[in-house]
Amino acid sequence: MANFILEVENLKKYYGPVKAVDGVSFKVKQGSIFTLLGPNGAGKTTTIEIIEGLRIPDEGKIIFMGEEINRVGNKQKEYIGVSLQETNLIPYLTVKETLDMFKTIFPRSLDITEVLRMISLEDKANTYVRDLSGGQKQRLVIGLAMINDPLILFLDEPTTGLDPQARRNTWDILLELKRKGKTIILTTHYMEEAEFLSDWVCIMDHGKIIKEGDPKSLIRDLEKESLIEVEVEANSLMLEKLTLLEPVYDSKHKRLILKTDDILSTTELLLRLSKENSLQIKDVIIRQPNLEDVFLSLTGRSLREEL
Amino acid sequence: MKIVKLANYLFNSTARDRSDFFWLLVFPIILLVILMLIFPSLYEPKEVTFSLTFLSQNGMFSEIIERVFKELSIGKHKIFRLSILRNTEENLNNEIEKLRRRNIDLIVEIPEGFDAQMLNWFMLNNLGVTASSPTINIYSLKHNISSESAYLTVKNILQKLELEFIKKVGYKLREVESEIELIGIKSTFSYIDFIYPGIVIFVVFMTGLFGIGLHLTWLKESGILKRIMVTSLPKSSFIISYIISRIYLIMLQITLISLIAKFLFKTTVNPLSLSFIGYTSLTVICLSSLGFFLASVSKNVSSANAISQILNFPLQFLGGIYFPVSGVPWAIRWLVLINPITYLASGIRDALGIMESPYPLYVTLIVPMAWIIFCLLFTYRRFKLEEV
Repeated sequence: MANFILEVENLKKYYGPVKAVDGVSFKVKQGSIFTLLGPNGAGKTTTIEIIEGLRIPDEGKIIFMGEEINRVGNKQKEYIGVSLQETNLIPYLTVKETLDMFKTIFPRSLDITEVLRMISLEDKANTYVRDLSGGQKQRLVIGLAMINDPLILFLDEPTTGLDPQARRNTWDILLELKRKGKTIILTTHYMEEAEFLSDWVCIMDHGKIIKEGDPKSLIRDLEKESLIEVEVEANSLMLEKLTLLEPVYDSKHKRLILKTDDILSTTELLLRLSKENSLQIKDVIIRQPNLEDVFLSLTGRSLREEL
Repeated sequence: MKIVKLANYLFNSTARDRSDFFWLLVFPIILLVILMLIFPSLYEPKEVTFSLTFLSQNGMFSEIIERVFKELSIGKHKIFRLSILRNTEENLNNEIEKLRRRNIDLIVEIPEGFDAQMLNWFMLNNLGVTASSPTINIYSLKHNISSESAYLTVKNILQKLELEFIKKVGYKLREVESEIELIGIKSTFSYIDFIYPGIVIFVVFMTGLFGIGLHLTWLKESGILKRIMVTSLPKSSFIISYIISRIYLIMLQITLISLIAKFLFKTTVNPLSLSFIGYTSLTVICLSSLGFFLASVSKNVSSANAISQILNFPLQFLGGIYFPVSGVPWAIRWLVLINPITYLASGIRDALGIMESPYPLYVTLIVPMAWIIFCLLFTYRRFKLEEV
């Protein structure tokens, strides 16, 4: 039987007519990386902030380490580490002082030197927070989430705004934490991040979980080996003739996506149809499906265009 | 222990911020020095000598006046550098030109027929007839402090002189009640004693408004407060830590101001006296509450900034920090009367024996306390460390 460290049942949070979180339920396995994936406004942050104890839910049940609670209180907060979306820190404290300030708060904590090593900021220990780069600041934020040696880490979009190298460094830290047996609850709108890191992904849209599973099985559920992405100004006649290939057309970006098991014949068909309809194909990309395609097939919208 | 450590970090971060350091620690000292350079001369007049031209006439009364001015122009403490000339049109024009060029401060002209006018005036007064007074022409330069001061000095001397004439001829003196409003300044008034408690109130006010109101709003807006609230730290512990960090700041400010007031400007006020400590504590509680109130009504730093500016000027300048405000026009007197600083400033000065308060003791305590209760209740109801 799976060991769930956190269970959420029918969580709801409404702001007037806006259903920010609308009946969300999920279970998080101990020692896994669990991801809430979705566009901005999907309800990921509200969900995670309810669990962190920052917001009071209108309805729902939280089972935290086997104990049913209405709201995460100070007792539970001792076991969680949090990295909020857009966290700012006190600019005129050094990295070491910032870690020490948060270490002071908790009854049990890790050694500051150990945390500095884990987040690779040993050489910046005496640097003011204001003088850190975006990536260094984000690593410090993760370090703060780790300072109390938590069992669960809540990381709300920890790599947003970071350059690819800084993002990769953050992923390495998260994988290292997973290896140490920590449970990580992540929110992101980067599908490659969710795909690379997650053991389990919940895709959220409009306050609801619309699909969940491990990334591989979610992609496998698309039931096609390859996708052909074509930059073309498609018309309805062309789309009609491609019905069997389940076309998804993004008219805004003039992008047509087709699912196929037979790349060669699909490409031939595509070229023939474009010729017959006098349509100019500007670009063709043949690739494997990813979580972006899962979201697209579920909502008809691209995750990228929602950002 | 953790509360104190957190307070230390909160204090350090404020003290290291150059902007906060300047406005909360350096600026009040600069302000005290500037005020001490500008205002004491108005309250503690020094010896001055004015350049005066006396245009004389022949005659007994003219000569008496001339002698008086001569007497005041000799010796170590002379008031005038006197130049006596015959009153002719040419001399008058030359002297007016000198006055315009600011070579002299004042011209006193005894007009032609002055003696006759004086005699006439005494006689008619003796007969019970109201006669027009004899005149002495005084020429001063408009908008020139030195010339206007010389005019006031000469006017004062001539009034005294008139009194002596009347006394000598044996007429009765009719006294008129003075309508000068006493503002409670005692004969031993010292501006540093007056301004020192004012600057103490000013620094606490600045800390309340900017060091608490604006700072707390910034902590809230930047998400730092939210980040602290997702830890297991109880809210009450954070609030106590924050208050302690602000008390450190205020104590440092008051110590610096007190050292400068005591050793540089030689104030006679004892900052360790019970009345000073008592009123200062009341000031700290009252104006810190105002800071918490500001943080409660402000949605973000921009709105906190705007509200603090709205509160800053009327509260600061109509609170009697820099000058007495008992005589301000009725149109703005209500701002004086609802201002807690008015009562804190007059209360502390009265308690220290610097200046008598126009308000009873209980009023100087009740009004700030009412503000404290209002601000804290409002903060309790409105201010949230985290969103719900």
